[in-house]
Parts: sequence; structure tokens; C-alpha cells
Amino acid sequence: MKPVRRNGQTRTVTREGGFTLLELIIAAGILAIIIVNMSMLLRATSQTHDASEDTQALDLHARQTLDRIVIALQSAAKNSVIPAAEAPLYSSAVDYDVSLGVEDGELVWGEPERIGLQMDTGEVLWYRSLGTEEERRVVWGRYVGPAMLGESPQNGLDDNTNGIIDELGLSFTVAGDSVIVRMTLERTNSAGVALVREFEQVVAFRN
Amino acid sequence: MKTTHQRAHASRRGSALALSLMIVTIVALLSAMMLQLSSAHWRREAGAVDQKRAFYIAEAGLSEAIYGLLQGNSGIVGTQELPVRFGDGVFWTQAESDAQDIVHIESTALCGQARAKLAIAIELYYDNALNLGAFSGRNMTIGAGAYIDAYNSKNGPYSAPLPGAVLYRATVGSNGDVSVGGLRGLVPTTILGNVTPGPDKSVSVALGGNVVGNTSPRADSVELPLITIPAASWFGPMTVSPAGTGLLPSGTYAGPNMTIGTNATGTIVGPAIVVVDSLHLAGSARLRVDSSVGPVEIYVRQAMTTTALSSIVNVTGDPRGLSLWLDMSTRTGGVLSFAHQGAFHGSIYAPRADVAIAANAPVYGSVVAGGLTLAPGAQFHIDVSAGDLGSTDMSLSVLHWRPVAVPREIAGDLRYEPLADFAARGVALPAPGAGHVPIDMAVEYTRDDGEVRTFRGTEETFDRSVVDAVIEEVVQPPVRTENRVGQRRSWTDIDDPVTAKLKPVKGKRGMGPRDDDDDDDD
Repeated sequence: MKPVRRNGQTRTVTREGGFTLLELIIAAGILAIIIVNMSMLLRATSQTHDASEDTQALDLHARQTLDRIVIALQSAAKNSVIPAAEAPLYSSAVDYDVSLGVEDGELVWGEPERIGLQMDTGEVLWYRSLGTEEERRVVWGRYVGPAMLGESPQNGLDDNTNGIIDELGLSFTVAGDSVIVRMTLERTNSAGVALVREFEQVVAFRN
Repeated sequence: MKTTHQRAHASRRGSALALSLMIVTIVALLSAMMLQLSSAHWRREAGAVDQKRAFYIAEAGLSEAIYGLLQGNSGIVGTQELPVRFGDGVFWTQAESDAQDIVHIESTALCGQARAKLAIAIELYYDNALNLGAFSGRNMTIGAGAYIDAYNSKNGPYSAPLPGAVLYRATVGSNGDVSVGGLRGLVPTTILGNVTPGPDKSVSVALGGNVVGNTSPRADSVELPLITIPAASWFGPMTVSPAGTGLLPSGTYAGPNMTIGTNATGTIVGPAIVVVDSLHLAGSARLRVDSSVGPVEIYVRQAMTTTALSSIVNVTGDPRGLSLWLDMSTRTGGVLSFAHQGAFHGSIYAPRADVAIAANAPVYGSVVAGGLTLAPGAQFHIDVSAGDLGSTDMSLSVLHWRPVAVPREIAGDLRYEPLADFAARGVALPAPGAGHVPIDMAVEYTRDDGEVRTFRGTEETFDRSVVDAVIEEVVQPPVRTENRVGQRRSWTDIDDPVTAKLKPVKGKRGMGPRDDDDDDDD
């Protein structure tokens, strides 16, 4: 602290000891702008990342569900698939028999199985020995929409021009030695963004 | 001496550094968090991709195994200890046959941390119309009291199936309707197998008739290809005078006719191809075929006549050793009555002729004709391997395909990455083409579950721990060979007839009488 002499009086000046109010206000303002911008940037980045992540997660979920359906139907015998609906008809559930192997020159078939859509929960369910004491049920997938993307149900029209009329979020259509599996998944992520994805796969019967 | 301003600046430097460090730390933490999220997502994606890769690598393994089988190998490709490398992963296959000669293949694939295993059951056969068993291009009539079943000559001579244990199903078919007779006296008509009529046609079974199999019509008609007559060296007439004997050694022969007189015996030693315009067996003539070294194929362009006392004797009793290819190109009608004394072991292919099988001539083999009739009381034992003769290419039909659970010892350690492990150990994995295991041994055995299996491969690739009892073991069996005579593939080595010399008997041109007695062993 340095004494200053003015008009014979001595006063102590402490300019270096802190910030002026103006300095503080300016600093706080700049900091606020930086923080707000950073938070906006982070939020936008986070939202984009979340949306991308959710979409990818939904895709992954759909692929895993479809893979299960594909492998099950590949193992099925074509003539065991009921109903064998052909376009423009479809079914949202199929019953089928899976080949277990060959014994004594004859094919051995397993217990009847079913893949179907549970409408109220949007789940893809797999059953074995449905309706019996040995019934097994496994959820193969979730988030299935009430209708296929672009389709308005129960209007008797092929709104999404895929050749099928009024199809639900999961549909099976037999075409020759193959079955076409179509699936639409819908999910609202944590940011409230609605994600809708459509998938289609052709499965050739192997047995 | 420091000024006041200098001291003030010095006091503020530290706070700027702290602020910067704090911001950098926050950004670093956020980055690390984002990286962690991305990394977790990437791992999930990579796992799903690897699983698909493993599945398709296993599919590739099945294809490679089938290719190996068609090439005469064992169908085993690589082993668990030394798999073959394919794409970003590895696979190995195992192959065994069951009692019905159905080949069961399993392919196991590893890719990254994913595993997949697929099983397939296939039936290999030769593209040959003789595989049709008993087939008629038009309507088919099976007389009352007739008996039809099937066996596999590869497994040895015919033996009647035990009650309730039909090992092979007979294949009886037609492009038209099939009429199955009923009782002949007290003897019912019995067919142990499928009877398949033509499209929109039907099978009628008279009272007392019994078909143990399917009678559904076929989806499409079967087109019987015309016979392609092979090129053969001109030899001239082949005639054996009454009561005489004659011999045709291995080779190819072409001539206007083959005539064997009453009580005469003509012998053809295989492998041989004989092409004639007509074949006549008079009275009690006997055409003897020795197919112990190779098959005999007889092509008849126009006409064939036999009598109820004549016979065509295949001394080995193996239907694959004798085939009659009856072109009958000039035949305009009528029925080729295959009258025959005693059993006929062989196959007949006559797409333009109507063939009638007599009651006193049990057939062991295959008969495919433009029209086919079995006389009342006729017996037909269809050889499911008859098509091995005269075939040109092997084909396969897939009976069964399915994914199977990966064994715990393979699926258990998910940290194990095969390519990294083998690379770390300095082991170079072979390519699929180099991983095929040849056939050095064949073991027919009973598994713990009672199933009979036949393993073909090498000692190193045979897992004896699954063997309950060995039925038969053959070390170094003959390798499958391709032979010019019909490009036959067989477990039996056959001399190449191209190198066989034409050896006329006693310097005569033709099948002249022989002085030496024929040591018949039939």
C-alpha cells in the first residue's frame, strides 16, 4: 500500500486489491454468454446424439427381431405355414412346423410354433406348443406400431402402395417359396421425438 | 523493485489458469462420456454384425462341405483344432452318413466374439432316370399279388425287410394313373413305399392291395430323356450258336445284332459297352454278365426278344453292374415282354417301349419305361442305388436345414477371438479349398443314442468318443474314381475301359462257340 500525498493529506489507494463492479458485471455477462452458448451447444449435440442413438438402437432392435423371425421361418416347411396369405392379403401371425432332423430316412418335425403380433403391447411373440401345458412364450421384439408405415388401417386401401391392404405393424405375406416379413417400429425417445422405422425381409423356406 | 501493477498482475495469473483448467476438465469429461456412449453403442453394433457374419460363414462352410462331397472327399473341412479361415472368421465342418446314406453335415463358424452352427441333411444321387425306381411314362398296372420293396445294393445283397422296419422306401411312379391289384389267392399286393401318379392322376388300390406309403400325385410330369447311344468300336454280328458258348472281354463293341441260340451261353466281361440293333435270346439261352470288375451296359437300338426260359444272369448280383438301354427307335407299338427265367439283377431303361415284368422273373434293380406293367405275382426289389450306373453328374437334394445350438465349450468363452488367438500362436490357418479332408478310412458304428452312422475321413478327424460300438471299419478304402463307362462314381475301383483291349475269342471275329466250359457260379 502506497501513501499518496495530496494537499497535505495522506490517503491510502488500493486499486489492485479487487474488481470494480463494472468489471464483475462485464465478466459475469461474458461468462453467462459463454455458458449459455455452451449449454445450448451441448444440448443440441446431446439431442442429436440421443436421436441418432435411439434410431440406431431401434434399428438394431429391429434387425435382431427380424433375424430371429428369419431363422425360424427358414427352418420351417413351406407347406406347414398357416395361413399362407398371399398379397394383397397378409397375416400378422403365422403358425409353422420346424424340421428337427432326419431319422430313419424320414423328416422329424418339432412341436408347432407361432410368431405373432401382440397388438396391445406392440410385442412380437414367439410361441411353442401354443394352448398346451408345455406352452412356451418368448418376447422377440417390442415397439411394433399399430400399422405399417404410411398405412391407414381399416380403410380398405393400400395407402403405402406396397401391395398389401390395411396391414398391421407386423405382416407376413407368402410369395412362392418365400415369405415377405414387413415390420414397422415406433418409439418416442426421452426428448419426445417420435421415431418410426420400417423394415422388410424376404425369407426363403429351407425345408 | 516491483511496481504496484506488477504485483497486481502476478496475483491474477493463477485464477485464469484455474478457470482454464476447470473448463478443459469439463470438456474432457463430457468428451469421455460421449466416447463411452459411442463405444458401448459400437460394441453392440459390432456384436450384431459379427453374429450375422458368423451365420453366413457357417453357411459357406456347408457349401464347402457339399462341394467336397461332390468332389469325392469326406465333406469334412477343417477341424476345431485347425479350422479354415474365411472372411473375418473361421469355420470347420463335420460330415457323416446314416443307414439310409443320407449325409448329415454340421458347420461351426466363429467370427469375432460371435458363434454360429448350422446343420443340414442331404441326399446325394446321380442325375439318372434309373433313380426313378419303377416308373411308367404312361398308366401303370401292378398285378394282383405283386410285391414291391426297396433295398440298397451298396449295403450288400437284398434281404427282405423285417416286419415294421422299412429301411428304404420303394419309389413307384407314373405320369399317368396307377392301378394296384388286390388279392391273388391269399397273397395280397404289397408295395412298401410311395406310389406317385402323374399330375392330376390317381392311384387305385383294389381290395387286398396294400400301399405302405404316400400316394399323392406329383406336381409335374417326368420327362424321360431319349437314350444317347455311346460310340463303340465296330465289331460285327455277335452270335453264339445253339448249345455253344462265347465270350466278350472288357471293351466296347458295336454290331447289328447279338443272338444267343438255344441252350447257348454268351458271356460279357465288364467293364464293357455293347451297342446292337437287336438282341435275341432264343429258347433257354443265357446271357451271362460278369460285372465283378466293372459294369456292363447293353444298348439296343431297335428290338429285343427273350423267352420264358432264357435268362440274363448278372453273376455279381449287384444291379449296378448291368444296365439295358432299350432305345427301340423303330418300334411302333406292342409290348416288350421281359420274359425271363429266374432273377434279373440290373436296370432297364426303355423310354419308348412298354415293358411287362413277368411273374417268374423277380427284378432286383430299376425299370423305367414308356409303359410298365407288373404281371400278377411279380416281384420287384428296387435298388435305391441303381442310378449310380451310367450317370454323368451327381446332384443333391436338401432334406433338412436348421441352426443348432453352439456347444457350451465353444460358446462359453466369449472373450476368445479365433483369428487373434491363432495369429498370436503363429498358426497359419488354411483357406477353405485346402481344408478338405480326404477319405482314408470308413467306420460304420453305433452312436451312444443307438443311431448307426458311417464316418468317412481320416483317423485324425474321427471322434471315437462318440462311438458305442464299431460295426465295420475299413482302413484306406478305394478312393472314389471317375470312370469313362458312364462316368460311374463308385467305391469300387474299375479299370479304365479306354485302355482295355478288344480280345476276340480264339481269333474269331465275334462271339463264336467256345470249347472250354463256362464255370458258372450263379
